[in-house]
Amino acid sequence: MTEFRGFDLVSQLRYAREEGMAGLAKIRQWLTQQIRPYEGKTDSRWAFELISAVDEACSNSIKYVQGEEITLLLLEGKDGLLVQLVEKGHSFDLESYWKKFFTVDDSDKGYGIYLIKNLVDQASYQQGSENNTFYLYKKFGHS
Amino acid sequence: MSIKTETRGRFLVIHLEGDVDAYSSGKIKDVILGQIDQGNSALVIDLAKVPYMDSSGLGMMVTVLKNINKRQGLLRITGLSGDLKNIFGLTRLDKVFNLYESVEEALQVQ
Repeated sequence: MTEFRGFDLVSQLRYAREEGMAGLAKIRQWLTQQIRPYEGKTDSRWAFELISAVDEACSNSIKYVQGEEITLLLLEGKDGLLVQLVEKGHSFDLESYWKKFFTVDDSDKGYGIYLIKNLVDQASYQQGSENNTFYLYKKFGHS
Repeated sequence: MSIKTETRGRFLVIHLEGDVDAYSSGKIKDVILGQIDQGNSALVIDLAKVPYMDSSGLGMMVTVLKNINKRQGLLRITGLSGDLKNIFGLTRLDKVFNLYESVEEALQVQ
């Protein structure tokens, strides 16, 4: 996987999994506020695309992962923004997680991962001993 | 999220307002499928006041379309913002649904 170096932390948000899907709007609002200072380097469509990708990753994490907390980190690089979604305090079957997450088993499901792949420039997932992390990177630009 | 309905000729027009996401899409699906079960098989779904829709919202729309098609009904979608047009385009659902700019336009088409 690609290593991300030279990024500075801009903001972080801790999200209790027990809030469930009801809290997704809070995550979108947080990210909307945090990326507002980058309006000169981006546009509203760029912002919508990053927010959508992060929302999809969070939604899947809430749906499929057993951890009690998700931490979202927003980091700034020279050419773009990186969002890390860290799933803490749980263990799970990575194989079945990816199968659920990446398998299109019906035509009215499976748009989430498709959208993530198409809305950001890089999307990857790394499993650690205690944490698992999504990396969502989007270069600055105008759509 | 609010859901309002009105009958316009042979169509039931469903106005959605608010974000259609993983939290709200299940409730919206239940309401719309309930309307179809009651015999409303010609629907216009107005998204003019929907600023955000995620993949579960797209899946919900596909489920509604499948149910309408089973009954040989009609489904017309109106009022997509530029952001929603982008999402429908990325997933190629813009080729699957009948999309119109406004409710009036959708109702005028034969």
